[in-house]
Amino acid sequence: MNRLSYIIRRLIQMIPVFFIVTVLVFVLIRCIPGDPALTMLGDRATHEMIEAYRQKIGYYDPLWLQYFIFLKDLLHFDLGSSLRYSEPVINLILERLPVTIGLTVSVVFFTVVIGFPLGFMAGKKRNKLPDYIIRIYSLFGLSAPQFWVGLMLLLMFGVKIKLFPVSNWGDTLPEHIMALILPGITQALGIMAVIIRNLRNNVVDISGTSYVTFARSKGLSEGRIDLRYIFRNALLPTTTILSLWIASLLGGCIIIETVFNLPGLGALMINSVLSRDYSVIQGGVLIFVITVLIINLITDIIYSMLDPRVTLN
Amino acid sequence: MKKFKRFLTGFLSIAILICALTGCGSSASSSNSSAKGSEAASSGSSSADASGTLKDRFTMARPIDSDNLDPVTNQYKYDIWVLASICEGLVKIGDDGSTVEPCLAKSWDKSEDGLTWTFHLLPDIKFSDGTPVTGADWVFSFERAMKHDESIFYTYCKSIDSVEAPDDTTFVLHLKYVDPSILTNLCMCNMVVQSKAYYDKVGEDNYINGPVATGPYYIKDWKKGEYLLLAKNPYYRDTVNMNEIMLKVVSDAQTRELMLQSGEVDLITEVPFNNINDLNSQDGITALGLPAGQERYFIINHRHKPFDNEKVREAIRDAVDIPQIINVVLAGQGQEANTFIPNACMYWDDSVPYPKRDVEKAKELLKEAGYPNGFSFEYCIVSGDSVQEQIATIVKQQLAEVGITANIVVYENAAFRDKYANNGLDFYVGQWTIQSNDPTSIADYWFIYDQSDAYMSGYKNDQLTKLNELAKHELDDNKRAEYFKQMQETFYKDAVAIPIYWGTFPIAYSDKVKDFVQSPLGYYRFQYVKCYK
Repeated sequence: MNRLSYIIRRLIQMIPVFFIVTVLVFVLIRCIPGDPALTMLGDRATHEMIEAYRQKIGYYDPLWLQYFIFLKDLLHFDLGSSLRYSEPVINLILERLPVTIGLTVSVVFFTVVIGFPLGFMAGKKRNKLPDYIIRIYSLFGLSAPQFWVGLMLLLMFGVKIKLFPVSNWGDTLPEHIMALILPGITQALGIMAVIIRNLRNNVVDISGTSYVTFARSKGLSEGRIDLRYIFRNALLPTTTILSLWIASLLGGCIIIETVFNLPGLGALMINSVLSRDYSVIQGGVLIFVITVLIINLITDIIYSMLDPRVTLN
Repeated sequence: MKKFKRFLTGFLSIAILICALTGCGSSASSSNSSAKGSEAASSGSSSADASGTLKDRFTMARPIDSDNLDPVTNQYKYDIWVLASICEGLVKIGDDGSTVEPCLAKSWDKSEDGLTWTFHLLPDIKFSDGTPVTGADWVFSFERAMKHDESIFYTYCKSIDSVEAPDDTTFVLHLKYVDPSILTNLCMCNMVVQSKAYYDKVGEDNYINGPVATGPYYIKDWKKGEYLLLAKNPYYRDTVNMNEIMLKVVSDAQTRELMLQSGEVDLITEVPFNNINDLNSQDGITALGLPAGQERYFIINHRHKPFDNEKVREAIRDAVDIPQIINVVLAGQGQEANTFIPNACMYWDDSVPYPKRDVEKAKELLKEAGYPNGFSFEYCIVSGDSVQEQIATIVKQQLAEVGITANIVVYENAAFRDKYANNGLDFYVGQWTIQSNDPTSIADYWFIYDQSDAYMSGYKNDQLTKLNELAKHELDDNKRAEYFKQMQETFYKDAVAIPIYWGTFPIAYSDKVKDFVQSPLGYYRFQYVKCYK
């Protein structure tokens, strides 16, 4: 099967998944206690005002009717309006999505640029000083709470050295990039620890395989063996782990976004859940789901490129 | 290759070392003395070192953004406090929160029967877009405030029957009944003049993004959840120091503090009380609690047994140690409260007893109530509210000493409100932030049973409802004071709820900031603030 038809088939497979998710999100958010009228209008609203608000938002409509209205709007690419912000949900999401995607790219960048070489080096220098140091770091990266690491980095590079802003998303691309470096490193430190350990173990395993010994006996250069035979093969399981992390990053950036005050989707979603802003929650989750499905698809394609034995079936 | 590996090893070691050292640095800087707080508090919010050229923009970080800047339909303090620098009405509350002063009305007369009030307006007042304020704008603004069915401030204009503007400098209010609170009510955010032309242009739905009004600042840009930028109103008739006011939204308290330390913002609000001393120990920063018309109470649900028993409620009042709560939770930045009326309000009565801890008396009361071995109940708190969490932890221990078991149950905000509205909370901490120094609205909330079930406590006392009604129609100030005194005494006698403390607005600012004013009602008076380079 060629790559294009594989992609088309996968995209078609996503449609039922997508609709199952819409049902789940729609029902679950309404099952938890909490009334949007009460959270939106506050304690001082009268009973009449609360009733009027419920009528206005269709609170008393049967659940199936509310769902079909939502679905109908969705088919017209209308995610509804936010109760809290009185703005179309799609606008709110599109404003914040670039921040979250930027943060994810930043995290992946630092993980790949720092984590891959370190993991490889630790595997090659097994039980030597660099390996010990890298393993100690891995332990630190896994155990240090992200909010603490973030605050420490802010204190050092934002307050003392003033190399990066503590919080300034800014208006221009260079300002955005500067604002994403420290959060990217903070989040990457935790993910890197996992990636390094995984890659190190893969490198150790693969270094002892017969095909590496055979390559060496054939007289291939160490650099070529490292790159083509060890590193490339060691990357396969690591790529899977990284893709899962990226998927979780999109929905789990809330701590980093809070500490670094980034106006991303995580903060929007949390605030919307707290105020029972149903439309935003539904819209946000759908965007997450679509993104995760696409990331999975891309991962599968990368997988097939890294390992020719993997076919797109 | 070897060199590169060595570099990586070195880099990693240094990185780990730096992280460790940074952590040490932070704790070291927090251990200094903290004498500066009281000095700053005694000299107001001015600082001695600031001088030189003013900056173009004053930047402030606050934890939550405004939601709705429609003066009539807004609901939260984060809206109202900002609107005070955007909109103006006939009169305004003084900066100390206790007096009513002329604003766009330079004077006023009232008819002999007290039902007709004529306001003489300042001439040639313009909106921030340069258009003149007309009588039609006044009539539009008031009629909208009076008739809007989504306004929680409707009570403040309940006494107004109709309004008219014979010309652009005269505005007349006709009241349904004599209302002694009318002047303070006119200071509310919903009774301000707004441009009718602008409202007609943007429509009701978009009006939550703010009006065109006459205050010292207008809304220049608003990215919700991120920032609100105010700019100087070029048509404002008085001095305004800063060209722009930037209100950034920074939800995390630690991040707000770091932004202040790095100079990215000039002032931060809602500083955790426990950090005030630490911030004061840092050069160039002052932290303090500004007086606030804000009160917290322990609300007890009288409908849930055994709280229907007055002696049980009294026992709890005698078992809690309020000074300890203030010292531990607020780092001393609060005052013990004695009645349901905050001390920043008129008619607050100092003679009403303050809750005082007496463990033996509490045990005795429990015995008399038929609970010699105590009882257990649910103490409900909202997740993420660190003040509530700390108070609950302390009170649990205090109540345990008299044999009462408080089971702390944490609810997420919306679930808490749901329980609140459905009479599901046993015991919780409620808060009231005043918007006016007249206590009528608080009294309404407690004693008009249909409005809020007495703060959802289920307490109902027809005598207090009657006293509240009498106070609303009484023009004689002494008699009004007497009615409110009786309400406060009965509130104590029936142990309706337990007043805890009157809080403060904890802020921290750079020493480059002078004359920042937040009135005890919370209103920001940005026109005074100066921020130097």
